[in-house]
Amino acid sequence: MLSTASVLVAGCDGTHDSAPARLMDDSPAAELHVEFEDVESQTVLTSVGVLNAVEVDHLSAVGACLQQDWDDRPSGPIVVRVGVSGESVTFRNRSRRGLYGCDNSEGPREEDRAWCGRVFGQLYAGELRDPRLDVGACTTRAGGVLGFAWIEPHTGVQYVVVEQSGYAEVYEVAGGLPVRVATTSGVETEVSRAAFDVSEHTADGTLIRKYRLVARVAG
Amino acid sequence: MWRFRAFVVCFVAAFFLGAAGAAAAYHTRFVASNCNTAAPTPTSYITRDGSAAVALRARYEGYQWAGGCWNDNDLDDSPNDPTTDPATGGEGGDCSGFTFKVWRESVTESDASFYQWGMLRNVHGPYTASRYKAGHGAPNSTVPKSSLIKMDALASESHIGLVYATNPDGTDQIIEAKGEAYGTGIWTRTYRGDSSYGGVRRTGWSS
Repeated sequence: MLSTASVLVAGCDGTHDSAPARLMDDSPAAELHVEFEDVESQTVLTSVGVLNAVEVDHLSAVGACLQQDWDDRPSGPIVVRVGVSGESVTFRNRSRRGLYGCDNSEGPREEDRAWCGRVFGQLYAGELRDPRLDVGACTTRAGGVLGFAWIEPHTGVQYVVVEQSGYAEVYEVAGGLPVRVATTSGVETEVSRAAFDVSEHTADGTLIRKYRLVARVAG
Repeated sequence: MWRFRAFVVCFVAAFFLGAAGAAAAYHTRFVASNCNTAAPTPTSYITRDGSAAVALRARYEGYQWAGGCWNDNDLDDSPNDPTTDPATGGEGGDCSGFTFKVWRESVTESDASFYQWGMLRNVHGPYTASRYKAGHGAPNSTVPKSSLIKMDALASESHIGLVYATNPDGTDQIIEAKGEAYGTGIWTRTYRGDSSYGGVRRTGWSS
């Protein structure tokens, strides 16, 4: 009875005694046979898919993201990611000077929007000058606030690992686009800021670099 | 030979002095020395003229990426900071931070009530220009551009400015935090006729 109660309590506040086995869309987290250097937390592999615009169902959630009132049409790869608490879509425009994205979570949102968060980033010679933090609009079912940001991985990086509370989320680099990551810890809504503890790794898990990204809402 | 040595000494000295000067310009202490984290004052109503007065106090002040703190000395106290670097701690809001304060909004997106923030209160708020353009947050709604009046906004994915007045030729005088090279001010703009801009209105104006 006591051990059952403990298990029930453990998940309520968003922390995890063990790595979550399922992602936000209730799909099982795929097994990951990579040991990440200098990562002590249990890891959860997020899912990633790369589509092109003609493959997207207009009636789907991804379709709803692409059909928002953007100032340009998507061009090139559309990267769709699903994590434990958040999911995202990332795409570029035709001129390759703009990076666009939608962020989402399981929590309530205003006006029944398909996506609770939205983001744009200007690209300068193909690169962002800012991680384009989105914070405050998306929450977990338990009410925790999510922060989302783009990571531009170093050359040779295959995996971006982001520490969460009790585990680490693993994002596979895909589509040649910055990696949209999420965090439920390190979010400070009062100052519109979030901190992400990030490590970048090669395909075999070798550490390329490790850092804390402190992002602020801007622009 | 001594001339060559003198030249090298002078060159090295000039190099380090130049670097020191550049570093001082990039890392101002405006925010650290002047700004605060005081709580806002809830207010029961806002008017367009009242918000215009708030906006005008930022005119001629600086611009700071992710920023939201300025004084009222009609001077950019931290000019030429590197763009898109929030760590420089300079004076001014960016375009969305300026709009957030002028519109007297809450850091809680579901809260549409009104909060008076002090000029020197360093706050940006949760919205970007892109999110304003989409009408995200309880206080913000999208409206047709043809209906925009004083203190409504025109927003693109990357910028937002507030209507200060409309010119007879249909252009607008926009008050905006434009960029490091420009600071915050009023300029005539054609955002209303630009398809990349949409109309945004703060909800709840009393007048």
